[in-house]
Amino acid sequence: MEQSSKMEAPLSGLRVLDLSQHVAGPFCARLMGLLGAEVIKVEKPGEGDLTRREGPFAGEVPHPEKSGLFLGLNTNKKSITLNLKTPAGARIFKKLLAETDMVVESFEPGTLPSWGLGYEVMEKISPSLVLTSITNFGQTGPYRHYKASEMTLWAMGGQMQIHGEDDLPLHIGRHVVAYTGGYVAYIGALAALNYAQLTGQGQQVDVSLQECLLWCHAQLLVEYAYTRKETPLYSRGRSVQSPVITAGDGRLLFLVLVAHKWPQFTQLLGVPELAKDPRFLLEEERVKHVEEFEETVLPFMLQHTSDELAKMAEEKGVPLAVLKNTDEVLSNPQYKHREFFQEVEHPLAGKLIYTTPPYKMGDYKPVVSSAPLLGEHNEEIYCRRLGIDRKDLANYYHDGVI
Amino acid sequence: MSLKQKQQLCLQDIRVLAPVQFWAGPTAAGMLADMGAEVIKVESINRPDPLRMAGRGAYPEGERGEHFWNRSGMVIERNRNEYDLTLDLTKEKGKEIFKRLAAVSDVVLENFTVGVMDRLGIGYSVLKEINPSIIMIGMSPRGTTGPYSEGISYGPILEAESGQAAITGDPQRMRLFRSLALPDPLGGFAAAGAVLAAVYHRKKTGKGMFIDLSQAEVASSVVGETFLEYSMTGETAQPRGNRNPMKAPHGCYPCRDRDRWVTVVVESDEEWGKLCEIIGQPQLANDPRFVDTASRLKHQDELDEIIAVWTRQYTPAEAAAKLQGQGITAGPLFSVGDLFSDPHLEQRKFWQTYEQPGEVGPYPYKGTPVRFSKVPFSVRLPAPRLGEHNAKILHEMLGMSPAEIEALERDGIIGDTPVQA
Repeated sequence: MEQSSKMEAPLSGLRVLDLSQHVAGPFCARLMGLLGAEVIKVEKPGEGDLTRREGPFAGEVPHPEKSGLFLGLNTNKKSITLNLKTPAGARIFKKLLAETDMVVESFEPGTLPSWGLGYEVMEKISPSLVLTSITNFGQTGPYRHYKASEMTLWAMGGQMQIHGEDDLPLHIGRHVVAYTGGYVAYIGALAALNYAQLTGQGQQVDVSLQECLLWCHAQLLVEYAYTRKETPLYSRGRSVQSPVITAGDGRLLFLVLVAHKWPQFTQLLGVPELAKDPRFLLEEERVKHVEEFEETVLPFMLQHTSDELAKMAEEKGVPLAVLKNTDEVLSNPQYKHREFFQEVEHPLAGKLIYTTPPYKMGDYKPVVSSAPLLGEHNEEIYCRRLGIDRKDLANYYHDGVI
Repeated sequence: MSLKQKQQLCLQDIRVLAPVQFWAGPTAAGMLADMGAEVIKVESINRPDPLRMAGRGAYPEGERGEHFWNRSGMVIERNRNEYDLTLDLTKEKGKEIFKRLAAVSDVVLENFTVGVMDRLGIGYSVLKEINPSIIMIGMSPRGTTGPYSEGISYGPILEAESGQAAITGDPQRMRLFRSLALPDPLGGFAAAGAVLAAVYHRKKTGKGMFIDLSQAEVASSVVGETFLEYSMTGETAQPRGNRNPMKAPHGCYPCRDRDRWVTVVVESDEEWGKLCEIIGQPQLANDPRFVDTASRLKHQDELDEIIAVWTRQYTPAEAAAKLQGQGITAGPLFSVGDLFSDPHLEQRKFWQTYEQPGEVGPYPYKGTPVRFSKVPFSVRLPAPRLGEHNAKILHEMLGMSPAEIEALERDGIIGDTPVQA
């Protein structure tokens, strides 16, 4: 177990209510918790965050306290159960709001207002409170009620049309879009907090996952705006600028062949006479000679193992990386040095490996604490903090309020 | 230097010195600038942001133009709402000015490789002596210490190293496709957030800090669950193409016109039933091959063929609308052209039209993915020309006289034209 540093946790003193589910909101709130904020996750009585249902599960048997995805995204938080739809639940929530600086939520637009808990209501209780709302398409606009998933967001963010193979657009996989939205929401949340410190006024922060993806296009957007052409350099299919190529041992290699690296690459390939070849030097020309590029490059790569090619690339100064598997990343000596991963024992799910923030803030060392059990902190928050009587708590529980 | 605004901005009390270039650094600086911070991009006439000079960046109507270093689309897109100062940081005078500016700034944000700022004599150990509460962030590829901290990197390289790339691809045929270089903007987002957490800390404690960001770790963090799952099950993350182990159908289907596609995801047996109605095949709802998720997952190839027959009749927007109308997840693959004319983005006023005065006329650029209910987004300043604010910054922030500023220009410490031009 890591020792906490002498430095005060950067976000200590920040009080957060996390109403969000799935990935984007919980990741944003987790980052706050890891840096010292008090994060109270508010979950639906009985089932909790729906992510608790998502496998794989520790021990391979589905269990709400053993979902890998849930556990990884909800460390450093407390959990209370509360049914916000009930009048009693809404009343209790308002009591919590009075002692909260920040609410993070990811409900469909209009949900909180339909429960009488929209920002205008929150503002009256706590004028400096910040509400950070993360959704697929934002709080407004014709798509705001569209159902979406990771893959459909890549599609509607313009990324999928340019990714994959000629006859098969591909999405990135897993939850990359949601994590991206979590990072962006974190910026917005803290910026709004800064505004609240300056002016005494809170506000609602509206984060759209689709719009986050629109910040993840290299020069694609600008090139189209300037020329009304979709550039072949960023078309799907075979890439001559940042290709993924198979080595002889079947491993995949990521290369970066920007113009000033091409001459070095020709040395690696053993064809230095092509260093200034006008077909290949500039990427805009190379893209017009894809077959010739592939004939020059692919057979050579297949004749060597990934290790050999990595060595040659390092010698020649060519940016090349072998695609690493999960276990190889875990044993990366650079990550070990940085203590990026932490192993923590969960009471029910066992020893698990977690990421920590991807940056060191001063000499502060975050300590990962396991995700809470569902409603684990009901007594602490409701009875000890809000002063609710234990007998009333039992009634609320019976009535499904808690 | 004062920024008297009628509208209060979220980060208006934060001044950022940003020697940044390419994508990751400008993304971080750009987020902060868009939210109202006073961001001073620091470049050099000997070494401007390569994106000004690259030539591979787009130029308006494909024309480079005379002052091409002020007409590069990527710079105009990423650096609006910022000031620009050129300084030759390899010269004593340049270093001195940088240090004097750091003394009156809140944040220094840089994305050089490890050691560059220290070798220039303006690293954190120097700056904190001048300004003990300075917040500095280094956005290096892998962190400032450790066995692999040296060395350049690019987004695709970090994708491969970090485990991020391991989740992408079609298991049937992993071969030549391209990287989207996501670690770059992701690193920028992570960095901007880290800076604001440090600002929060400083307002509480009065203390600054050095933030040591690793872009590789940012890339790994967005596949964080794959490491946890490995520790849980011993299984390494495998690519799944466009499929999902919990849902079927889940895929990308061809539409009526060439290279047009729509994605479709069915989340429940109920949705499957509705989809069968929509595609005019209600009998498939109870077909034993498709009756529940488990059986649908076993017969995905057949499922995909059935759906593709239907989607081939429609445009992506038509197919998606029919499905979304019944509450089924569907999303068209948007081309860039589609995005620029998308009704949703238009209603949200996502696209922001602005000029580069004297150099580039009005064009639409990306707006903000974060909206504040009390602070409407605006492009307060166009992207700066190279060295555009040299005189303003040196005079207003450091009290330099016109004569002193002229001397700096003569000595090549500052300027507005790249030496290579």
